[in-house]
Amino acid sequence: MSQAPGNGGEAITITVKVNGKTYTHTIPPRMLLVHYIREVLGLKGTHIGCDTSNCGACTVILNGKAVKSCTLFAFMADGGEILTIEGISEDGKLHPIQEAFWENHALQCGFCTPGFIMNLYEFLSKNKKPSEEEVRRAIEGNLCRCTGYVNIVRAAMAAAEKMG
Amino acid sequence: MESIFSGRYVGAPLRRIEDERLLKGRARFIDDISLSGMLHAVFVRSPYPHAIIKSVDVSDASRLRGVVAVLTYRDIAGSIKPWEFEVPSDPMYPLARDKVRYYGEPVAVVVAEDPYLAADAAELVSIEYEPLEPVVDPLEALEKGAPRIHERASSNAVYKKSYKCGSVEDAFSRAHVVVEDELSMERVYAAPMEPRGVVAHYDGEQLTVWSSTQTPFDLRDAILEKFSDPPSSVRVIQPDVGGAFGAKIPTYPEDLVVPLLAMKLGRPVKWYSSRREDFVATVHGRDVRARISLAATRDGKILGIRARILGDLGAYPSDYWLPDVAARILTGAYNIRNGFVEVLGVCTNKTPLGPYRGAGRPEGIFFIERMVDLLADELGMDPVELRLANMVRPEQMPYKNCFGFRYDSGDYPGTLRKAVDLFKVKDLSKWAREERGRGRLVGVGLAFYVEITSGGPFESAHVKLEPSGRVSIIVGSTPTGQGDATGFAQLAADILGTSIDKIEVSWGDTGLIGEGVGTFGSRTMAVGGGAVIKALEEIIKKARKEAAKMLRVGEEELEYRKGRFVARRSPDRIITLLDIAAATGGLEAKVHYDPGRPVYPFGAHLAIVEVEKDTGRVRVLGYKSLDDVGKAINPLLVEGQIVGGVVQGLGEVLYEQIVYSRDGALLTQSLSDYGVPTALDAPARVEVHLQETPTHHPHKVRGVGEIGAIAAPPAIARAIEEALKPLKIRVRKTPVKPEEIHRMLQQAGKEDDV
Amino acid sequence: MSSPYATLPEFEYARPSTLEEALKLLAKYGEEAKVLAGGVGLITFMLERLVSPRIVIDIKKIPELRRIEYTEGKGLVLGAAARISEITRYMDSNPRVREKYRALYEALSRIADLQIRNRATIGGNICEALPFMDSYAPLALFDAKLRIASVEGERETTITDFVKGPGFLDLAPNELLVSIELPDPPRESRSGFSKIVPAIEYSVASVAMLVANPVDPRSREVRIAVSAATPAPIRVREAEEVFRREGDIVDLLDAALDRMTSAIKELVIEDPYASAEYRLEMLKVQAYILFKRLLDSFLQERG
Repeated sequence: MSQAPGNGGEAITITVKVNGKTYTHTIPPRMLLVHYIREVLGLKGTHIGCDTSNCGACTVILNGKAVKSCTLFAFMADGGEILTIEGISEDGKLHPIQEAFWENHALQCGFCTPGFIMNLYEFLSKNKKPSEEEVRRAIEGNLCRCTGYVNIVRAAMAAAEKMG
Repeated sequence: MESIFSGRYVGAPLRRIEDERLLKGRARFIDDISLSGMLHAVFVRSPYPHAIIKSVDVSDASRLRGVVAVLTYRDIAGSIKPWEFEVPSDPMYPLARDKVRYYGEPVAVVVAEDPYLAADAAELVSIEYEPLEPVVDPLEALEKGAPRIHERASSNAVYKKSYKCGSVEDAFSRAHVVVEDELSMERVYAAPMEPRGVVAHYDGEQLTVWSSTQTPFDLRDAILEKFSDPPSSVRVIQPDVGGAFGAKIPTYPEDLVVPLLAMKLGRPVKWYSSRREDFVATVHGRDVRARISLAATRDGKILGIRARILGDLGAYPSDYWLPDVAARILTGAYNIRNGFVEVLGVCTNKTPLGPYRGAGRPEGIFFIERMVDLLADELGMDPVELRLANMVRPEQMPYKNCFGFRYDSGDYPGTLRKAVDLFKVKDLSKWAREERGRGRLVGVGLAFYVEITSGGPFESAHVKLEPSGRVSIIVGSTPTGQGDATGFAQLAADILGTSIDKIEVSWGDTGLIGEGVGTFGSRTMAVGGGAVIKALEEIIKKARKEAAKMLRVGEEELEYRKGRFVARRSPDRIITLLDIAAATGGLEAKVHYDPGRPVYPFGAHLAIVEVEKDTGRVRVLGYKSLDDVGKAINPLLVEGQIVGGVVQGLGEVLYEQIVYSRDGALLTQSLSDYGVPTALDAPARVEVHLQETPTHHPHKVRGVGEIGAIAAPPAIARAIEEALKPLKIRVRKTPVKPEEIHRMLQQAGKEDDV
Repeated sequence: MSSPYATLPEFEYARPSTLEEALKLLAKYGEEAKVLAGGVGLITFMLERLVSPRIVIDIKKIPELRRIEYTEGKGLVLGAAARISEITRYMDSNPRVREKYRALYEALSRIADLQIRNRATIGGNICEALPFMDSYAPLALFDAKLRIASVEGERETTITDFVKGPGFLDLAPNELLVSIELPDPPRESRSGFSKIVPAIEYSVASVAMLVANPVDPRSREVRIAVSAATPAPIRVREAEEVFRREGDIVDLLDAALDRMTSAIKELVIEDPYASAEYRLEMLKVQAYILFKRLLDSFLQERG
């Protein structure tokens, strides 16, 4: 998008740290966080799959917590820290969750995948040895239409193991 | 040529070559495409299911800051021809002309500098409608005096056909037992995680269109055919597509309007659907009901079948053939020689019906499998024994079924017997009986299916072996997440005797390969794979000519093995494909592969369910499958297709349903109201078994994409009935929701008390 | 159809840092203002363009609205902008508080999903005013007091008086829900929450129940609150009264559930997702199961 979407209302200046880099932008109040991430910062790995915060494809980490960026205004992240799918692999090396998804065939079309990975990123950092049932509860806010979830749960368990 | 199955790749569960960019968030889905100067379109849609458009006033919308254009039918009338369908009906205009026929039909389009501004303006487009009485229920649509949806059609039943074989009257008069029932699969929505979208750019000569489609070649042809002033060159690109499941096969109004806007306005234009919009603007699936009778002898020989199949086609009969497929596969795996089936396709004021994973086969198989279970109960026979007694036998293959489908090969009874062993059906049934004795409502259900895959007309491939040893494969197939690129690379690496790292697979771009068909109907690995193999064989043939020259032997003297030609009588005369490619500046081949007849995968699926007595909720505890998919090029991917399809089937039996109000408004407009299964609904394990009966394809593949969605509904339905034994409860439709199970339980309980 | 465009209308934005400032803004803009806490409900409605406020007042930066405090004897105080996941985490680290307000804990920890709970607030859940909001039944159960403020002063209400029906709250345009106070439940009480979510994302019948001193007819208390099946939450006092009768508590259950049925029958919602009959039946079934579960927990403790 050549210009910031939704330029109505009096613009607000926000400062956010995204994937370790600090940005300051002046944005219209009505801009959604997901549009800020995708269109202003150009980080297109965060996806929009619904408009009712059901599917979870837009999940990012905001101040250490997994949130759905399609139902947050960008200004709500002001002063905060965001981590997106683009920010979790260091020096091109895949994060253990990404590796586990690859090894366990936990993705097909891949559209929902970044959302699952970001959600699990928070969950697995706080739950070192989750049960399968806990993993299923943790990802109930992420929908996948391709895999039937069996391999996603398997990948999450494998990632927990890897992350030790 | 040696067998293509002797290499290290084909048959190995390799992780996918597609994945790394998807995992890193570097894929390019439709909404990820941004072009300089790009405008954003939003469509203004009808709030009425059936109405005359009296007037459209776009003046307020046009005046809004940032708005570039607001168009209605009048503005594009001379530019795009409408869709005309093969059955009697009025044309469908890309923007409604004077009448809307479903809730959500596009009426106008707003183009603005950004999507927020476009939506602001869309709110200001003022359309005056004269509402007409809608008809939502297909049975009501058949009644005399029902609102007529298409003026050109004499009734709402726009499609009628019947098929027969043998003498059905005779069969029914000879029968000891006749069972009859009404069954249905309700209207569902494919719900790929990515909604649809289109981006178009016109540079004055070439029109480039990106669309989240399964059929870029169809879209290109539609533009060339329907635009009254088509551009000199059209290139359609399928970017990464976030799931499709058949719903992205059709060419949609937005697929034509957005490119036209780009041409008219001279700037790139994007439209990306919201989920709410996708629910009304993308085809729905299933919505087929049936009244079926089976005639049988008292020892369980099925003598005949009689059926009436009624499909609700929605507002436009673009895919009127769907109920027809359901009708023609209706004898399933069984040797039924007397049959009559009447098919009706009825128009209603709903979103048009279209293909959804299985497209007719899930309906037909659900119907016959339910009927066979009903007959087994009626006769007091074991459903497995009843199936075995009636199955098409291997010596009858190839077998033409009652309604004209020609099953290619396979041992159905042998496969069912094998499944009963592999699944440990006896132990499971015993366990379930014991648990039921302890008050737990658990049940085991089995279903057997036959389905059709790998249809024509052809698929294309263009393979290049570069002098550097790199291999480029371009295919006409258009996968949307299934992982076929990995499968193609496995085939190529083994045939060329090279490493899979050397192979690059591209697809979904009419600029890269001029002709192709696409990915649907479980055809990609079978037909697209066939094209890849044919191209590789042609490269080897060319290489053989060169090798013969270079080694100065006759072509017939040369044996090809794993990337090398060796002279049979002088084994020191060796030359590699790579040397030949280097010496000749590369080798390439462009082919079309015609698959000939389709193939018919088959197999047995088993579900273990528990019903919560107090609430009627169902949990699928376990699931097992045995599928004859032919050769599994990559078992990991095959398993992924089966499990994914099974969970879609599970959603269809237990949760998913598109609901319209009586007055034609779509009530299920979000993923909150529409029950796509979550991780909590899926079974913990799916035990997948594969078997292989060769087909006529060069690599013996049958196709696997739709199996799960076909087999799961009847297997789960039966498991629910078993769980509720000894109550005689019948699952007659999908979905069967907790409330319905609860009601049936209460009614059955009352009857029991009496 | 409601707007399908997935973008929101324009608005102005204010982020007051004190309650006073927020109330002044509300007084000034009244019906043209919408309060933003977690945003989950508001943004969804705005995406459908069902609401188009001129100004959005973000109350997240007002410290007192984010309080989560328990004081022995006084009870639990939740600021309206306290996040669901913060409340459940607080309870996890204070197991005594969690057990006191078990029904609330069970309801909050199953709201929507993990990501939503990380954003959604208790005040937002209350003010969304849809029948199935998960906080309703437990707040009714614990006699929660809702503190409402405006520039004119403060008032106190209950959840059953506050939530009138789908989309209707007893909240004037210049008023703000400030906090929710849950007095200490009866000593030695047990409580729990249950809901039915069939094939859709939200409950069609929710029940919260509390039992105290089950064996002693004079001091025993049973509370029942329902939501989701009815347009607004209901504390079913007619059913609770039955348990004041003499006799074994177990023998009173059927009579109590009958009283519940007759008290609310006329109010139960019927829609394409669940019939009134099923909703009512599910209220009874869950009340029955909860009752058994709570009694069992008393027995186990003594056993």
